[in-house]
Amino acid sequence: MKFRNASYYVKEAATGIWRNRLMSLASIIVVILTLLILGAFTLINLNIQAITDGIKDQVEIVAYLKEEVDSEPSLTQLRSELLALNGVQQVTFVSKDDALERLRERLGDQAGIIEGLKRNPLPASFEIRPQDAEETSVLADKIALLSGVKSVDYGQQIVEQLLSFSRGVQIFGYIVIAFLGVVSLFLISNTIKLTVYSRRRQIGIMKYVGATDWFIRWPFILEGIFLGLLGALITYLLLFYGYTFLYFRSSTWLYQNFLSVQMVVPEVAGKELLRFLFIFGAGIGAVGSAVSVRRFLKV
Amino acid sequence: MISFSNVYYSYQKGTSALSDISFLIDKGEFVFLVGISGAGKSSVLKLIFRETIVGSGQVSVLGRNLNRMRRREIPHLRRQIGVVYQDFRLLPDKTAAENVSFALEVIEAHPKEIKRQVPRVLNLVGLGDKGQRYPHQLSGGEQQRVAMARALVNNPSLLVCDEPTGNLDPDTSWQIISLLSQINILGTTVLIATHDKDVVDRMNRRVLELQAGRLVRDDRKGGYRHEV
Repeated sequence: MKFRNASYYVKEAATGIWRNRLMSLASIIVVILTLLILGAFTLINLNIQAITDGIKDQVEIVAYLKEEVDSEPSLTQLRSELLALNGVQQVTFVSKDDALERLRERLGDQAGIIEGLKRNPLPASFEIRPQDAEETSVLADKIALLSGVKSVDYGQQIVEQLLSFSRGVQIFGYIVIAFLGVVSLFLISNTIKLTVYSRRRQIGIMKYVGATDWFIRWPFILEGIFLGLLGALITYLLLFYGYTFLYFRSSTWLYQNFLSVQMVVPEVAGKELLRFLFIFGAGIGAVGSAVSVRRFLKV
Repeated sequence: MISFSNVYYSYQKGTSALSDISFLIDKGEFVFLVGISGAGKSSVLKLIFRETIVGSGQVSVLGRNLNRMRRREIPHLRRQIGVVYQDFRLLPDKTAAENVSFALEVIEAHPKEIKRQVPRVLNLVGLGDKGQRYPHQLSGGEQQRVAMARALVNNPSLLVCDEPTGNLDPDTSWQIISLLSQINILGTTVLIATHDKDVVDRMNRRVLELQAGRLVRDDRKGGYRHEV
């Protein structure tokens, strides 16, 4: 795009928007409606992602040790064997005493029942945090094979269900976003087709006097991008303030009911949302108008 | 300037529009292309303008073989051909001067060049004082003059007119044709597709006649109908 032409393109785009202001308004409304759905879905997806990430961070494999592994050298040996395994992020030792102490804490008022025990029945253990939660079961199987490990526990079912749920949600999210993307592209291209149609004479004359296709296309593309961005901006404001409102209304309630579940803070979610909406808005605007103008260039 | 050799052309639905057309138009000629509606005049113009391409045979315009011309070269061909239509095709929301300068703006001409050329061609077509009027404030003949100014503003070496007098009364038609003749004297090759008998007879210039897609006559100096 030559600089001298840029002002012409912008002027033409602005004229186009103003001359077809009702149509432009309709385009912006369509953009807002589709982006609202897309944006809301992005926010939901963002939160589900954050929640599953949070849960993934808490995934832990507990390796209970055999009674005979209690000497310092054999523990050090086992620890270094664990650290040598692929995908281990962190290893914490929990001694028999530590385990009993934890149980006592958890029992609270009823801790008295422990006092009756002659000897500590709880095994010592290593708590292993995997680097990648998806690899938990593979890692657990490897750990179970190490000598000195009696049994392994990582809440197999819960972890696996969670992981497949979060994967499912993500895939569903992408499918919905792709589908809505196509729908909004179609709607916008149809709206811009009307503004292109109202200027078909002008396009025809431009073709006859020898304007290049790109010269004809640019104003429409700019017009599309502008409508897309304006729609994105309005959508952003609506969603951002809506989300912030929801965040403050619900975060206390969420915190009380689901200790580990937290909504993504509005500032972070807003940044992500803004980027997504602007790229998407400008993208559908540009592609939509390029598609609409195509047919009229075949002269 | 323009050469057709053994050109065949059919519409998309398969009906034949032109069969075995061959002719040559030299630089500086003034030529009428006549024939009843549907004889194939528009197809010839569309081929010259590279709006469509031949089924077989070959069309060359301004030394370029149009059969082999790539899509992105078409605008540059058209910048050297001025075109005038029966229905003028002016933009109603632009003044006469704006309609003319628009043609230069969209081929990315320099603003200085635009300032110089627009008054020049408006004077040439006799509308020097009406540049600020909108098409609806002009008569049919004047609108056609604006269209001619637009076609000429880029100094084309070829001017193609499709029924330029089709919407005009006889007097105005004659003025337009005289103007075309003057433009021809200044060096522009002019090709006029028409079925305006009076004009063709009165001018007594070269005539190509089409009948049902075939070239049936090519007279150096002819009238609308060949005397039997």
